[in-house]
Amino acid sequence: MYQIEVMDLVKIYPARRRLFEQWKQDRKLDVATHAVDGLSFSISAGERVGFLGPNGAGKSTTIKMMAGILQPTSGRVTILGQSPHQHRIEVCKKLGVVFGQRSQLYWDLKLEESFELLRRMYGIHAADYQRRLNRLNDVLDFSRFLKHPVRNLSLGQRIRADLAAAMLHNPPILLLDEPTIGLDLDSKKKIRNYIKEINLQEGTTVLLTTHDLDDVEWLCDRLIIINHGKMVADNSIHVLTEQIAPERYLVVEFDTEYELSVALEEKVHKQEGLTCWFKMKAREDSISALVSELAARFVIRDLSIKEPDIEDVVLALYNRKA
Amino acid sequence: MDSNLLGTTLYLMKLSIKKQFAYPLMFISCLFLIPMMVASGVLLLYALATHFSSVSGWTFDQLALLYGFGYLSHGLLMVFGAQNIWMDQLVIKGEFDRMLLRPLPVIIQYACSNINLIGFIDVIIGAGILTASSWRLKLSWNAGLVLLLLLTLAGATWIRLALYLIVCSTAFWTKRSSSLFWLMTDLMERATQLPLSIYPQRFQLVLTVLLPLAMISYQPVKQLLNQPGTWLAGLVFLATPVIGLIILYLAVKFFNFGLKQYESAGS
Repeated sequence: MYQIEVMDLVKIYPARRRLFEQWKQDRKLDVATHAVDGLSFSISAGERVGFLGPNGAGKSTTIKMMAGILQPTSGRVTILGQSPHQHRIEVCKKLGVVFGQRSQLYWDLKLEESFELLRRMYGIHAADYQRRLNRLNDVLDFSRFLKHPVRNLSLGQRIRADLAAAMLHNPPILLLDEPTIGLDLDSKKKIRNYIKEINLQEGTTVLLTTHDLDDVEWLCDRLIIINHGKMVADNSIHVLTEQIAPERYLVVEFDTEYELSVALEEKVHKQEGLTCWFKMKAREDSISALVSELAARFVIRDLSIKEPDIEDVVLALYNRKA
Repeated sequence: MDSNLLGTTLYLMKLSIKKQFAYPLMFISCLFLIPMMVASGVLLLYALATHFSSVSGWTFDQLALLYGFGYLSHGLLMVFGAQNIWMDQLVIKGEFDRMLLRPLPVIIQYACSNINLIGFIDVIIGAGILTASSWRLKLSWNAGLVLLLLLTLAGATWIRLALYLIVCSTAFWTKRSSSLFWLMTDLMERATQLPLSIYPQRFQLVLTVLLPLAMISYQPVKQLLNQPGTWLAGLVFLATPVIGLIILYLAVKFFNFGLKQYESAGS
């Protein structure tokens, strides 16, 4: 059974016409916005899914509908068998939600007060709470600013605090909307590691949006890519890479001028001085055969393999028509 | 209400009060301004009563009793309902996201988001005016009457809270409601600080039945001045909390309906 099911989900923001504007000639602004336009997917327990798309693709709107913040225009969302709109309170106990752009903490309260409030809201036992807080602190390292009001935290501190707040009640599902936005390398790494760890150890399902493809590479097994509110691709990274960028390259730097045989010439992707890129079908062609053939004929100064780039894959998919 | 919900609600209120101590100067300036505002209101009544010998049959002390009782529920509104002033800002900036993500009814989180200590200044002043005028009028009190009046006070506060909640919840559609808050405040002042008998009959009827503002202070205080004991007077007192509960229930329904139109914000 799926943990998350999204069926024919649609969100239309109605056109907002200003008073007296109906006399204006320009009617272009009257068109309603189809932010999410018939999206369907399902996610099983323990998956780590990257939910990608260019700006304005409808990612946040979808996540907000999954979290019960926004009411869908049509279609439905089911989280562990329940609708977040009809059973909001039950569903939000099972979700941990982070919006990197906007804190869900309480601006004027000290961080520890925010945490205590959440403990009470979710009905977490004091002993469990302390244990979990300690564990979260090991990774997210927030004990130094527990006594500070949230409005005084730096961006990195705030996002770490937001992540901790989303995980205090140990939810089986995490919805993370750009959780690493604006973070420095070290913080990013910590957060990625933690998300992966909690997924591996507790089987937490993770859906995350990001524009940082390192996040995707580190964290996701599966990609759901949308654009203009419609599905573009939904598959494992592996399969998508095979489909979109199935080649990898053997990059060879020769020691001296070289002349390739016709058979080898066919495999060349590009040449630059003494360096030559050989295009290999990712699975079929044998790299070692090619290397030994080249080594037998030429003196090779350097060798490397360039794997298919996730960036190429994602870029190709963003440009693909939905 | 289960104990977890109640405990969490009380904790929310506590934090919301604590939050205000971050801005102490606001409180101190209100400590000076509010008594001056009230004093000018009471002096205006005095001027009216002495100038015209009475205001539609009401003496200064009776007017002050009405004013004091009305001001009490105004104070309680300011304690529990001040967040309505900024309802449209909460809608525009997407602040309801936070409440919708948490496993506690949104209306409770909203209601406790701004327990406003300044309102207690109003409550104390209202109680003072009520006590002084009732002493001057030599009203006789007993435990039953005090209890009845407290219930009426609760009802009057519920009516105020409900009307503000309804008016400000329109922000879910219009994205603008703060001017409606102040309009409502003007209307309430006019309908609760002066005897409604100065207005034409039809307008009185509107204020009793359609918008039950007459039940906030005018009707109960009229019964109080008649020195009640009759069943009818008791019924009028009880009408206020009953109407208050009904209209508050409807207001919460309307708020929840509005919440379904909520569009969050950005990103």
